[in-house]
Amino acid sequence: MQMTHEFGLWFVGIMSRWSKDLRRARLRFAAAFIAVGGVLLALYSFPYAEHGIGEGGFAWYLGAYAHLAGAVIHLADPTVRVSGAELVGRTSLTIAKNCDAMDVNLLLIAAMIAFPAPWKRRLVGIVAGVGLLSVVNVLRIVILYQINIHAPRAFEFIHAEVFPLAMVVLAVGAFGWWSRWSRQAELAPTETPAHAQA
Amino acid sequence: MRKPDRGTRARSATWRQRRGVGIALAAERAPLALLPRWPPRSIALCLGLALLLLAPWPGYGRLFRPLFCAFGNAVIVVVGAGGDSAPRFSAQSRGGRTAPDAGTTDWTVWLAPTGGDGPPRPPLPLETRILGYTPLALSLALTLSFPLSWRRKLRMLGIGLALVFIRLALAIALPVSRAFSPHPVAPGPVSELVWYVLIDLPAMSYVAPLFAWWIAFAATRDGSAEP
Repeated sequence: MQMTHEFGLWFVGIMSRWSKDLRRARLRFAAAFIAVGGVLLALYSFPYAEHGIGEGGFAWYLGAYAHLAGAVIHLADPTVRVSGAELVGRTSLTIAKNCDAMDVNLLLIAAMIAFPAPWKRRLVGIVAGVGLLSVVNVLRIVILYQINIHAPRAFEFIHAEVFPLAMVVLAVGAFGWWSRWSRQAELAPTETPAHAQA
Repeated sequence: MRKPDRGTRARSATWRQRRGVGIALAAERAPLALLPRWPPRSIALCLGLALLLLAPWPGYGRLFRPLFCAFGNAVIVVVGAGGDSAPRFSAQSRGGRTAPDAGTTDWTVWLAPTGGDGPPRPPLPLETRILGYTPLALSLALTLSFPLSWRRKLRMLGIGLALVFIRLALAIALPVSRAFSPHPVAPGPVSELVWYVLIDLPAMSYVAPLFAWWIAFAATRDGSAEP
């Protein structure tokens, strides 16, 4: 009985030290991020059969994305038409698989799942973060459409370098803000005075 | 010091006492501050350094190309990718032309077989800026801007650059092996998936240095006792 009690104390001590070691917690977060992010990105990037259900679903999804972006572009350019995943107006743009910023979305989701927080706050963060990134991504497509009309030489640099960096910076900022909010919510006292007096 | 328990909170008479016990209980279960606080000055420094290094300065590409070719050829030799074809990177295409050429830039290198009995193949162009230069520049900007001791910064730079170079080595070895070798280092679907996830996604050249920085930050500590 005494042995069991001592083993219990030793085990609790080990677990306590493990959970409080910041360095290990940070590396654990990195490992969880790799695992979750790897699975999500693999599901997204998997080379599905060309005429299978997976690619069909992607084609429908990219078409819906193109219609959404086309509706916003239509406000400035009424000539724009959407055909499949292609926007055709004063210039043409095709919404390809990576144009939906899904890679940044999935990495943000992976970071939020890997971060130690209650599931309720994770869900709030994922919905808000993905919503924000999706809105900004539609704006990105609208801006790229305008750049392709007015400054086509700058298109490649802005498309391939400026916007990916901006989307990653935005996702990192959103994650940093969410993690701070989540931690502060955790630290806040659970009980508030029913009738506090000065 | 005696730890507060929920019974203590329930027995506390006034709201002030209950609030005090509530705060103590919250501190007991407080999550670790995983993310470091990044001072605004460091954020500004990091963005400034990143913009400086990533701006399209003329001549950067011509300086970077030979370094990329040396690294790429070393990877091909060490991994044995390419087999008898002995493909090698070169800063100049076979005709001796460099940029500007149709669809090429200052950052373009060419990959061509230098041996073997197979049919002659035209050199393949490869853009090295986003694949190779951008992650290195971001690694440098992230590590130098964060307020830490120089000794730790150097250790972090070593770890971060090593991870970025490993990704770059994969980005070279997998497609070269698949295109030139009769026995690729990884089977087709595996190398295709690794390529898509680690290399091809546009965000990866920006996320990889950030993640490498995080690993380096987590793995090092100020002070001589820690590795």
